[in-house]
Amino acid sequence: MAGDKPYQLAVLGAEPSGFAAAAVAALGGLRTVLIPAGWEHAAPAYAARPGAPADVWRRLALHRSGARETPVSACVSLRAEGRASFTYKSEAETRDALAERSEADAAALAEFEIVLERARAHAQSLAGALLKRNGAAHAADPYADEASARALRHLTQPYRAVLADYFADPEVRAHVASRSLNADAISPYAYGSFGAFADALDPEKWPVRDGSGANVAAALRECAVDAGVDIGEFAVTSIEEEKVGFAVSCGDGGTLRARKLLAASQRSARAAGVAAAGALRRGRAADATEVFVKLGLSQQLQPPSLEAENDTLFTIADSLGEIQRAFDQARDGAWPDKPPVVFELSDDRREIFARAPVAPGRFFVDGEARGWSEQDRQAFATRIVRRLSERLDGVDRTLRRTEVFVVEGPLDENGAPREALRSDNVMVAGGAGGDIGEAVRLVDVLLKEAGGR
Amino acid sequence: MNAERLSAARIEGGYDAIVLGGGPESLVAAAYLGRAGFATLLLEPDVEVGAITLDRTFAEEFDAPSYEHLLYGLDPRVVRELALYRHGLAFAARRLDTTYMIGERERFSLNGDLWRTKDALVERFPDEAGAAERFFKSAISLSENARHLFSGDWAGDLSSGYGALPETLQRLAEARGGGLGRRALSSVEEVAEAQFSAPELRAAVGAEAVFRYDCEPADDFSFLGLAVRLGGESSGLRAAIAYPEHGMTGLAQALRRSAQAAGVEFRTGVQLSRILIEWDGAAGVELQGGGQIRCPIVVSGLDPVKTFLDLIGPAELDIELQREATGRAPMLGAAKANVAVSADAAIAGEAAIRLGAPARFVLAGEAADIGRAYAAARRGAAPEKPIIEAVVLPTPVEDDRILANGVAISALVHPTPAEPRPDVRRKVAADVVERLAALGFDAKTDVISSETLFAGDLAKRAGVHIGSFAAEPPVLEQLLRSRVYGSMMNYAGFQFCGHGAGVGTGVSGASGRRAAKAAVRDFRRRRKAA
Repeated sequence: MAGDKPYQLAVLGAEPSGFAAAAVAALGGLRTVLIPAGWEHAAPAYAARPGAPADVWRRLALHRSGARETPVSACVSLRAEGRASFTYKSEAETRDALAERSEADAAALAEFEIVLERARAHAQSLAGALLKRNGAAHAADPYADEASARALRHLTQPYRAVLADYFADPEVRAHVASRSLNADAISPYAYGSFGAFADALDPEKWPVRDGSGANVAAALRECAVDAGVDIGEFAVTSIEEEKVGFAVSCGDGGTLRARKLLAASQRSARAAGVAAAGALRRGRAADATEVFVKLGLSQQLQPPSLEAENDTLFTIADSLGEIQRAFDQARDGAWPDKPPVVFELSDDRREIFARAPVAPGRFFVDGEARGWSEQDRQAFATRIVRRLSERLDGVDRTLRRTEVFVVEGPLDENGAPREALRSDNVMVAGGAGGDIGEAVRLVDVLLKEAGGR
Repeated sequence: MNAERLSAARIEGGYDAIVLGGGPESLVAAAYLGRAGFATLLLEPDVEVGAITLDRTFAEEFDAPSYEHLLYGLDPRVVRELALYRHGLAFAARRLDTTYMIGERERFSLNGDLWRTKDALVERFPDEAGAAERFFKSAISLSENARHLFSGDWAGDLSSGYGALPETLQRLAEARGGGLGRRALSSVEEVAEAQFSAPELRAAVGAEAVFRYDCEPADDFSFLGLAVRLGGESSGLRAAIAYPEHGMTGLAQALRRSAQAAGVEFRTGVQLSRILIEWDGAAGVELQGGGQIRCPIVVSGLDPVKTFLDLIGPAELDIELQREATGRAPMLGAAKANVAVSADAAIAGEAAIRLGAPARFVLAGEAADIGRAYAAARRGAAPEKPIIEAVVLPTPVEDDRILANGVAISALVHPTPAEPRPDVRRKVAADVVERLAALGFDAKTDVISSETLFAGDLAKRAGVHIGSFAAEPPVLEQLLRSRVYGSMMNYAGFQFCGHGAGVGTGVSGASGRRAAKAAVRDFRRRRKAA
């Protein structure tokens, strides 16, 4: 690949959203390359991710591949003393589950879902108008009802305040908030975080898993290959901005050039060390990073609650304050005391894949920043194991091995994380787990710009 | 007049308009109403009109402003239309120079005339001075473009409180702030990062932009905070940061004189029990003890909780407005610290301070420290390096000799917990004195007296809801809140200009002006219709 004509687009991240974006770009006539961001090997194949939206299914004719996404059966917050809160894919089911706890909050949930829907519509339309990329003004309010006006108002508010408006029970608030940890970790106290929050709770992005056999991840990869995308084998090692475009060095020592960069997810952006410039970045994720912990068990684990099944996505986060504190500590570069955890079980229930979506990106010692050391990784894994054992019977007893992976960008000569390369020519699709819809939308914007010229 | 006599249960009339509260916005509203020919009565619950703007003696022989100590965005239309210069307003300094102390050692000064930033910085930051000047120019230019957002000029479309957001964003995105239009909603950190690289400068502009706001330099919308802060410069007053003669007391007195000249009558120590709402309009106020003062226009400059929940009552309110007014217990606020330093202290030799003139200092940590200070304050701990805006108050001098016993320093410290625990209070108070010592005195030997008051203390002292002293939400959120307060009041003849009715921090007069103008317009329209 080295030395060739520069690519028009380099997609960073060998993940479903990356393949989808690259495929759409190549089909649109852009010379496109896809490069792994470097974290991909650390996530197991069964890890849940946001689902692919219907329009991408249509555009890439995914149904023809026979591939299927398996939605997770429920999102469950585990609490102390064996209690748990459930959210199901079906809203009605969720409401029924909630009604057992609190009728009022169940009613509020119905109202809240409507507001979330309106907020998503507004946010999308506003983002389009703001970025001025598609040239459209903010569309007239398609709903023009009271919920819509309220949703618009909520867009500048912290989502903590919005949740407090709807739900009386703090546990319900924490549970609803914990769903945003599945797709994207958004700071609950930051003004303007509600838009991203609404987006993370989009029913279209209900977490799905790719089983073995014909799965969507593989089908998307195939689409990209068929569309003529060059797929790099080695992960990005460093990126330099040049007069026109970027020079991207990969693990095999080769360098390729690309005019624009598109990170397929926040996670890939972090791993590759790039960030988007411009209006409305999401949340305050800049200083935080993600940590994966894989736990191998000697025995099959019983799912933690009677109603929960294997394919459930579990979270541990007891309150909004706890989530915010994790953000604050990540920013402080302080050791997190109660990091929120998202975890799931492998099919044979002998492996737990846990993710800490908000962990410090670097630590501060006497004002000097340093990256994660091997001790930090082990200590963090111990902490996660402890958090899991508090809520899950038998984890510590049957634990065989742990693997820790920190999603880190390039480091400088002192071993501290380098500042991310920020440029107008970098685009980042939202969502820690890769938002396929948004990645494709960003490519559409690019294609439109290229077509306009 | 005293409250005793009024407490007799009787009904008074003869006024066209009543203004509640004696803060600057209330005085502005009263003066406008008076000038429009309305017989106006201003009712102040406190013992003195505008106590919150007056100086207060905090130690023997030392006075300091009660809270606000500088002007950022006084609306020039208010100055002109109320003839404030004629009524005694004068500026001791219109473009106050600022000395920044960033981190441990870093120290540089910025010219108060931001158009000459380059000259001020060229020696210290030869490569960045030009970029820093361009940065300020673009911020001022964005401020010009966004003026309509924070000058209260949205009075025309009161019906669409929420719907204003897309239009607002659109306008901001279109604002050609030196190519910054698209960045108008970005974080200040991001905008600064794109323009210059000196971390000290970035920390300094970050500190300016988020000071007294509940958002960090890395948060979306924080750049707008800087644009609003430069309102005084962009509006034509040519006063980026101004210090009136005799401090804020000077401004309060000018406003008071202007109101008096317009025929406004004042009553102090008046205890209100409710605002009379009859049919769909304001009908006057009821006092504690049962007496009533009836009139067709009521403008409230009291805090929103007092106004909407206590005086009007939740039964009369739109649910959204209630939600807005009840708010949430604030976590962050700016603490007010006053320090008196003995005249012998080295501060007299400080090059940046010309005694007899005010001087402004901004102390802050490096960019990352500012974020960490927020995190600490939010969890109720003492922030390690909060942003401190310190004003060395003018001291009478003769031949380089201080005539008074010493020098008073007034400081606002942000972010701090709104109501800290006792140990945190002590730590913050000690830290503030310690850090202010960088101005050139010895924290152990030179301090005559010092006090630190937190948001909770200030609110208690002023007898208002704690929200009035809490950190402000970011500009966009403030704007929407102000529209909710404005648009939700469907009662003819009622207007609100208290805390939360305006955008930005500090005194501008814009919300008082808007409230009075709207009341007058509304009244005339109703009369015509009748």
